[in-house]
Amino acid sequence: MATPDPILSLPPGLEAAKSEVLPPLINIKPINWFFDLNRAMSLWPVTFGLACCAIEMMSVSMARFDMARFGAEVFRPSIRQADLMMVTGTVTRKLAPTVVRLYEQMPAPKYVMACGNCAISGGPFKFEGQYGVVEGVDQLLPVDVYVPGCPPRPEAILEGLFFIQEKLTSRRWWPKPQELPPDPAPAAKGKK
Amino acid sequence: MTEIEKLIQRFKQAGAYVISNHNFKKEGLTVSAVIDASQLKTLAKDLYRQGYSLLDLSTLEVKEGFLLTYHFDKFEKPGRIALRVLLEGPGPIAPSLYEIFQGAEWHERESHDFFGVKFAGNPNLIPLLLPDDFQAPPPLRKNPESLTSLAALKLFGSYEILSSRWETIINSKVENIS
Ligand code: SF4
Repeated sequence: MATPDPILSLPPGLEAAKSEVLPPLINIKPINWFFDLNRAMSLWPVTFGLACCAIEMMSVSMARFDMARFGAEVFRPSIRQADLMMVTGTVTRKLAPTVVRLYEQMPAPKYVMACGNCAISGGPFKFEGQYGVVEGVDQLLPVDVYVPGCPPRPEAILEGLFFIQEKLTSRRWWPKPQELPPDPAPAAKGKK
Repeated sequence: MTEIEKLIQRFKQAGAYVISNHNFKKEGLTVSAVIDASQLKTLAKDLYRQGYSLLDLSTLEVKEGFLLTYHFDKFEKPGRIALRVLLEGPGPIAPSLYEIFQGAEWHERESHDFFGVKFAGNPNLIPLLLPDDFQAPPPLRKNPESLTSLAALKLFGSYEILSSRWETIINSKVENIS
């Protein structure tokens, strides 16, 4: 798990999450691998959206993109039953203590996905003299995967989920999406 | 006498400083009046009795002080009106409309958050949008040199001025429009 970056300074009055994840009691590699595989295939996200990016999180769990295909369909209304926190949106200073508290209430093993530019770095709200936004949720919580975009496409959020699964089991389980055919060169277009 | 005329008469009775008629189609307002802060509560109560509801409270920092604008409207038919109050001098304080329109409490808390305007009678003047432990001065306060004067804002459609103080404010020369 990534540790919060000490170089970035938190706004006064805020504290980063303190809880740490202990190593497993029974530390036998094949057993751990088996449990991790099971975990990876049923990551339960928490129903938790902070701003506009949450719309994409809803979309990714609905029929068209259907996150359920990859085991992450059960959105839990209680953080105590979840193991994936998708920070979708702007972390404001007002809400930051609550986000930290929610993270600390989550039972380990726990994973954090920073969805969208706001959660990664403050996004469009990062400017000189801003007073209301935490510039990056990684100042508060250890983040496992960053999904950039404003907002990220649902496919990108799925990729983020695959990264967490890969992190747990050290392999990618799903086929790589097909690349789009390259755009015809502008010159060739003109000739027609 | 139409309803609007009645309102204007009521504003005059309450010692309004400026009364303006607006073009509703263009400006979204029918009448606006600049009144004294001490008259705010009685006028708001009157409007409440006539079926008006409070839409919003906006605060604007200008050279002369803080201009609070209260918008009122009716649900039955269009006809938005505005009451404006200018708070001059340091430590701006206005009466709270909480007892008449309970929703005003939040609008006032927002104003207090961002401009430091105090509202006498608001039972819960704690930060609404800013964190509870916010230390810095109110974030939307401008630096005094960059403020515009009220005259530059062209707020008052076709107006009638009833106070000499406001005559000077509105007719003062506009130096900087940035
Ligand atoms: S990254 Fe963009 S879409 Fe996402 S919460 Fe921020 S502003 Fe909204």
